[in-house]
Amino acid sequence: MMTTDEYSEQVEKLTQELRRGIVVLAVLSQLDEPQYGYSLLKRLEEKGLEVDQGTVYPLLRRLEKNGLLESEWNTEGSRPRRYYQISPQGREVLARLLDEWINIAGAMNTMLDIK
Amino acid sequence: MDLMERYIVEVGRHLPRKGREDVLNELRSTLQDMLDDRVVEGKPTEADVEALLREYGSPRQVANSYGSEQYVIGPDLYPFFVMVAKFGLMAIAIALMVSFTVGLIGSTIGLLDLGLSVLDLIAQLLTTSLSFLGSVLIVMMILQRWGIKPDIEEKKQEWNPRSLPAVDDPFRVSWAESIFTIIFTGIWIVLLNYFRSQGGIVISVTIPWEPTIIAVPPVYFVLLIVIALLELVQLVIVMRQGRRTVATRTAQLLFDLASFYVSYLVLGIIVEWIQAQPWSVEILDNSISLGYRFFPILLVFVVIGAVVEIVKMVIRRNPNLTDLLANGNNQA
Repeated sequence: MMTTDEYSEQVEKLTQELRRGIVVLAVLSQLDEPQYGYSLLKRLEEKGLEVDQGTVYPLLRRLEKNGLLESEWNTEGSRPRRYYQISPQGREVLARLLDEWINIAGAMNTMLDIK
Repeated sequence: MDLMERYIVEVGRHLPRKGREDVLNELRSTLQDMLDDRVVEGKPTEADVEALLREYGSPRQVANSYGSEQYVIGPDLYPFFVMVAKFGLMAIAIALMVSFTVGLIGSTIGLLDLGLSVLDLIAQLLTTSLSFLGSVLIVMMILQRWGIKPDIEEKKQEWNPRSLPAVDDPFRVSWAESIFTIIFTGIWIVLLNYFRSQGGIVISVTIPWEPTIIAVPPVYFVLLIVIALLELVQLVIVMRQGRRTVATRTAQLLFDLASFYVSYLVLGIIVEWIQAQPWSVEILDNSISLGYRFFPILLVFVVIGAVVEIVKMVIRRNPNLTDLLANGNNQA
């Protein structure tokens, strides 16, 4: 039998793993228009997905490094901000991920009997 | 905004130099945006900034979140590392033990020197193994850094389920068993060589230790050593195969027969020696002679034991054979 601590630690880990792939899909889907980190965070929250800033900012950089996003500093506005937008390659990847998501979601809904 | 700047600089301290400025600039603009959202009326106070920073996370935490997963040896490279390490260590162990044994065959040393030599061998094994592992580690770390992955996928052949060993393979030989037998045989060789160098078997019939030598012509020892060396080769083969086979079992039988014969001759010399001793009495003489005469019977048991095992192996390999025999009997 696990202690309460071990149990909640495991739940935490599993939840994190569940969200990890989903966050990538979410982020890519919201960067059709250029956004900066904070505005993206707020937008995701508005749409019902709360993501930690410690997850989003590094993720944005990683996606950019892998060529799925493009970024540039924008000095108009009240202060300079780094804006990200999905790249052409990113759009291809997004389309594939969307397909996969629809398949999986459909399968899971059936499996878990969610109407 | 002194507090905020101190925070940002501290985060920067835990970041690699590359890209640091860019990350910090983004962090600064983010924190300022967040502050604006929190403080709707008037200017943000020191307390507001403090609360925000506290919530955002410790500088080290924030810096760590930017790090990609760092491995010394990543999951892709790890199996490769294990394979190289295993084979390397095995090769080192075998090489050192063989050279140790061979080195002793030509020399004449006393029992004390022998003990020291063994300790020396162990020390050599340890240091060589450590250096080897260290070198492998460094090479793997470099490969990991450069993102080189071994093409183990290519080597995946179609495996044949039929080639799987039986569920309870009675002829299976574990690694540990093999190593133990090899070491034991090695010690046996060294002992034989020692006797050879001393001109015979060294024993003491009295307490305290007073060595006497039963003179035995060196050729007997040389023969036994040669047989034992051949046995070593067979043992290594068995170790690699992980099980005994008809071939190795038959070879073992031949070695047993050969060493049995030579031992029998040596035993004859020992018996004569005992009978010639001043302290030897008639009862001892007679019983020893009797034992000596019945010694060859042991040979019969050795042969029977080996033949039975070999037959068992053959039957396992060819289950149709038993069916054939059974049917043959029925038809007869």
